Amino acid sequence: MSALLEVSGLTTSFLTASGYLPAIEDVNFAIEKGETLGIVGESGCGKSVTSLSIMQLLSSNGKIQKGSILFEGKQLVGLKDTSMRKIRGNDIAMIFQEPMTSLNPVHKIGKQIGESLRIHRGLNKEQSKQKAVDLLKLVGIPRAEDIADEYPHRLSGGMRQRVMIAIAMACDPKLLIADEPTTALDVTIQAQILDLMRKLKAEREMSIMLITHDLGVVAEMCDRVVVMYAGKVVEQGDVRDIFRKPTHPYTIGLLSSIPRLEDRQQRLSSIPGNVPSIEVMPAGCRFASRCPHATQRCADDEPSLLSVTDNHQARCWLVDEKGVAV
Amino acid sequence: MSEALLQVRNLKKHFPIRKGVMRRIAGQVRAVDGVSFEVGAGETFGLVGESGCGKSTAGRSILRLIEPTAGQILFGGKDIRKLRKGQMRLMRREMQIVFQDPYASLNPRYTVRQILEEPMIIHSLFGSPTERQKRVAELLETVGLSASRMDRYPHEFSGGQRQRIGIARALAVDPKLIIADEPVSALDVSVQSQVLNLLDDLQKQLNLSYVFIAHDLSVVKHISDRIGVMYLGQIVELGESDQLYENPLHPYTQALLSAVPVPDPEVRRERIILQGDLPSPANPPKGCYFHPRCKDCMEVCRTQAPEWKEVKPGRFVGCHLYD
Ligand SMILES: Nc1ncnc2c1ncn2[C@@H]1O[C@H](COP(=O)(O)OP(=O)(O)OP(=O)(O)O)[C@@H](O)[C@H]1O
Ligand SMILES: Nc1ncnc2c1ncn2[C@@H]1O[C@H](COP(=O)(O)OP(=O)(O)OP(=O)(O)O)[C@@H](O)[C@H]1O
Ligand SMILES: [Mg+2]
Ligand SMILES: [Mg+2]
Repeated sequence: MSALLEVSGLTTSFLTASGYLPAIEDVNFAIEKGETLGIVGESGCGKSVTSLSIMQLLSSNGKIQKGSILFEGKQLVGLKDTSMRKIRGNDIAMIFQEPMTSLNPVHKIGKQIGESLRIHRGLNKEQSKQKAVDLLKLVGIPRAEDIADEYPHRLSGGMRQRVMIAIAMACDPKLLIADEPTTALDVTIQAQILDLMRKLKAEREMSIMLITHDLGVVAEMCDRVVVMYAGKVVEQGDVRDIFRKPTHPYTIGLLSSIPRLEDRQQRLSSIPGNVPSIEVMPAGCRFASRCPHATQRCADDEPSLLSVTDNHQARCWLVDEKGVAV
Repeated sequence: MSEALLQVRNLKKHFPIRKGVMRRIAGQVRAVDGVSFEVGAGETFGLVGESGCGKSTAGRSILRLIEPTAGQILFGGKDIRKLRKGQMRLMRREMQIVFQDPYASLNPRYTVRQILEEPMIIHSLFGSPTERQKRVAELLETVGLSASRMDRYPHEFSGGQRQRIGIARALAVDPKLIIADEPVSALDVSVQSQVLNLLDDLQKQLNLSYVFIAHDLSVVKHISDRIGVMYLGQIVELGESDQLYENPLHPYTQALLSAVPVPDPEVRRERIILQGDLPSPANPPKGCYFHPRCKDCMEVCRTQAPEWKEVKPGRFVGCHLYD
């Protein structure tokens, strides 16, 4: 069975004062039908650029320089804008971190939800309005009829994110890309939204690409995980493997630097230093300067994604030498 | 505990809501509505709660960066609400604040040296320029930055480094208490742990007291000796941090703790999903403020505000379940 989405060798660059610089490089991953894939990594590592590349929604100074994005076997890179528009919002839908900036403040909620139904499904005004109300009920909004007639600013953050999910669900997408869908929300509201996403996924056999920097959210929601660092995939595998047998020293560092509720107070381990900026990427492994195991080889040559097991890979020379990292 | 360094008693801050052309007062936002807690020397008190519950307002009121509406704030036994402007300025030397956004809180036109010298000049400390420079270098070393970078501007530093500069600025005048308002919320986890460890080290070295404000329960639990859980302008539960986590008494604390995702795919915590949204602090519910969302709501909760009680030594809760 081939994957629903297959990203290979994806390199996306932005025009800066020093020419085109790659924000993500040689990114590879696949999402199977009905699967939730988590993409984790620190601010600026290229999570949003990856999702915007898939949606072909890069700002005008950005472009996909290399690679392929296959959705149900169809190549999205280089696809005409009109064809891409048929896929966007229909087969692939996206929700963003800040719901307010992605809702139009001058249109009523019902109209905004109905819009894609009119475009993609050819529903008339009456039909799309009714469907919008149904969708609001689906995402658990009380008084759905009234809320459909409200403007976005009258809703709370959690309700707005529900509306965004309703919009994304309108055309029954096969893939939902959720870019930090709960980061701007409080934990109790986050719990409601994650619950809703899980329920919708199960009901509709949808695949989800979930971008987050919260490892708790990953553990709870994802089947598989891609860990990114400075524009590259550094590790990927099943969620259990990533949490039980993290292999890349960055993943190991990340997992041990989070404070955990159940732990008694003890000193946190931390990763020294900072992420390199895209202007001055080191030649070898991008994590080498912060890595406790770095050798000369790491400084000189960049490792490729090496297999730890069949479906677990890490971009680290330690895998090469010992089979598994220390 | 001997007499606490900071004692906050029934602190209130209400913001007037003005309406119409006449700007008449049409109501009050009860941002902080009766908050009491103590912080001992060398202790960390964590203030946790969801967005808008009044954490920042409480922190700022304690320093009188905004004027409280009511209540007592005793610092070293002195009621600082009775201090005049000049006396208050002296007092500020002992109580400093670190803000969430490390960028917005540093003047972009000042070099790091100027940023750190400013509070020394205000408080007439380290009189000569050479003494001040020495102190700046010392402070940067303390927070783990190289003194050779003191003549650079904030934008030349990363987020975590800027937060270190913010902490160094707070330390410049040798305070006894630091109110840290979401000091690591804007930082990535790997950098967040660096800053948390730094705060921990500084506390041990300098016997500092912290009021640590944050919405992230794991972070607050990690750093705090004791924790107060806020909801709609009030502290609903207060206790020693491990105990609070192991045996939360207030239904809101229980829901809040259960909502935190566990970073372990093989652990499933039973979750209490709270219904509805946070009510507006301009129009809080009658009775217990939490009752419309409470899974254990009883008749009495709808009409009567619960009393703030010490149910076990050092453990306080405001909930009718413990009447
Ligand atoms: N429009 C743009 N122009 C120039 N550079 C950009 C642009 N968008 C993103 N970048 C750069 O690409 C890199 C990756 O950014 P991206 O937004 O994907 O990060 P992210 O992983 O989503 O981070 P965060 O967790 O902060 O959202 C960053 O270095 C960023 O500065
Ligand atoms: N200057 C002000 N005038 C009127 N209302 C205010 C003012 N400052 C804060 N508020 C209100 O007081 C309440 C508490 O705000 P505060 O900023 O203290 O919350 P917080 O707990 O720090 O939230 P967050 O986690 O989002 O920082 C909110 O309802 C807020 O809208
Ligand atoms: Mg992003
Ligand atoms: Mg605040």
